[in-house]
Amino acid sequence: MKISAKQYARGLYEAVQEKKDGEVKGVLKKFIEVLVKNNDFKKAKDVIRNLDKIFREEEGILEAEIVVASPLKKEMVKIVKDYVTEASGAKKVEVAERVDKNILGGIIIKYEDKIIDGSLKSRLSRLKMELAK
Amino acid sequence: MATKDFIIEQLKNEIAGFKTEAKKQSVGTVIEVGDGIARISGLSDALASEMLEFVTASGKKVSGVVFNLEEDNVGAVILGDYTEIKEGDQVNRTEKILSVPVGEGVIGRVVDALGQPIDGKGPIDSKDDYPVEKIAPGVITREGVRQPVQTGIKAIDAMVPIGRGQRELIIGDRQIGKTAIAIDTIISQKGENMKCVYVAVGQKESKVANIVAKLEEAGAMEYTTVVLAGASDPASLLYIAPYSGTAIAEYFLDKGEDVLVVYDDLSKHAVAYREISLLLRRPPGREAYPGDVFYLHSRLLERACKLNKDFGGGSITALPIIETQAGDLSAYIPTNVISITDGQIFLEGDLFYQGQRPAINAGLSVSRVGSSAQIKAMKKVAGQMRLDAAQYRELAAFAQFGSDLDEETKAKLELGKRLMEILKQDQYATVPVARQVLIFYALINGYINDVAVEKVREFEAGLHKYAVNNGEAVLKAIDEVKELNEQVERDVKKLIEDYKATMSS
Repeated sequence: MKISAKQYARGLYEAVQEKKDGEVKGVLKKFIEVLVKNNDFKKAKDVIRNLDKIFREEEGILEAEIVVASPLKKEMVKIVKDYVTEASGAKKVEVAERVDKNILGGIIIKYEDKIIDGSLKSRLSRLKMELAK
Repeated sequence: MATKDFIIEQLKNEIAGFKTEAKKQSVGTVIEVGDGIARISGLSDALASEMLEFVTASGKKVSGVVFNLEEDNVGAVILGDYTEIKEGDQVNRTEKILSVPVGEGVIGRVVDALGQPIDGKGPIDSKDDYPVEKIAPGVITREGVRQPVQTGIKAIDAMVPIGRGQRELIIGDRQIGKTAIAIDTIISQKGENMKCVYVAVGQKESKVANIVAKLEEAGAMEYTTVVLAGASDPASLLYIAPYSGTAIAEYFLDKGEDVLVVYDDLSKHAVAYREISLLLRRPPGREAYPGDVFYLHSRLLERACKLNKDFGGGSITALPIIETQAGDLSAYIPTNVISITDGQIFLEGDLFYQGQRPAINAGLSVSRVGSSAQIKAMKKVAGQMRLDAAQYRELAAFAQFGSDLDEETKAKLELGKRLMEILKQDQYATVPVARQVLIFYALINGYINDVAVEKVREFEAGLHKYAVNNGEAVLKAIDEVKELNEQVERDVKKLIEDYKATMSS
């Protein structure tokens, strides 16, 4: 039976769960040996990507992206962070901020597959459409 | 100046009334696109058969429909130009199930599978949207089929009558007049209180243009809508078109009206669905069609119905068309659709090339609704005629071997030959039911026995002409009384005798 990259990743994640830091190295070595033995080393990249995903999922870490026209103040970032934490139910939220002059003003928040578009640009374009009717 | 102020004032009001709310919406990103389908990550709360909106790099918006909901991605078919869409493009939900605009405004128009006009006559005025997929009416809402659809084709109205709410399959090889039967039927619905929808699936657009021109010429576009998904349209549109056509018909059904829908043709529809299914990696089955290809057609044709009075009393009559390969009725799609429908009209290449047009094979064609979908007068003459036709077929094959035949057999053969002549009919030359009764009455009562076989069609044409000119009262009586009571029968007899007298003089 073929083992998918996802299954490898989950297996590895569970294997290192109860290990102490010192033991992890050994587990990793064993894991790579298994990969080579199964002729699946080419999946290593996928395994790493999946591991990242599983880790975030299990630990409740969420990545969020905010797009603004000019850099936000610290307090503002915290408000956004708190909002996303509450809305998504994640334990921890990592916020990446991106400055994009094109949105003119306001803010766009992205997390998981959700998007909250509060930018001035999209509001103006909606107004334009409304007026054109 | 005053108008300028007024405009500014209005604009102010509009802007003041415009509310912007930042709404949380879920989006997806395209991870894979090609051949008219896309795989999308995200969109975790998308609905099945929900419309999606792809935002392309150039800012153009292309719509799509959710088809597959999988564990970590969504499979969607793209309705439109998929070459614009690139990996990584954003996909928005519309929170609307795929639907088409319906209403009185679509009558007389040519629309695409999404209900958008493609005849260059401007936008369609419609207030309602109907979902493309809808569960068929249930048992309590229905009643038996009993009102006829007059196709104006003698062979059909007499031998395989079609009722309002029936599903009658038209099946045969390519180029032997399947579409012609459907178009003639639409043309003869003039004044019959019927709306018609002609759904062209995978047809050549030149052919459809011809059909529309013909319908316009015959004045049939006044009650007809043409839904076109042409041969060059993507498979997704071909797949949706029959359902869109039915949605348009359902609007009139809900108003208690009678509708006739022609699906031309469902073999191409099945092929389009196979294409989509294979691209979405659904497992192939027999002839590489997916496992649910039966459901594809059954759910479509179940929507044809006759509703009872409590539910408006409307009806949808479906005339699906299936193209066979070399007369092979036992292929997958033909057997499926034959078993779904309430009968079939089987067209045969041999008959067609012998000049027997429409090339209806009376033996293999049936209507499971039967004579309850005929007016009484027609029932009376056609019942006898079906028998004569069946006997003729048997005897004709048998008589090829022997030359010594008894008088009775000879008489039957002669009658049969004349019957076959009468069943011949040109395209676009539909015959109203009263005149059909007249000619069949003349036949079964021996008025044509002394007419040479090759003169029968001439005789018939003359009789029609004579009846229109001199026997209007009789024709009207048949239309109104709908049965051959003594009075009407006497008039019919007299009319035919008078006509024969003019012939001999």
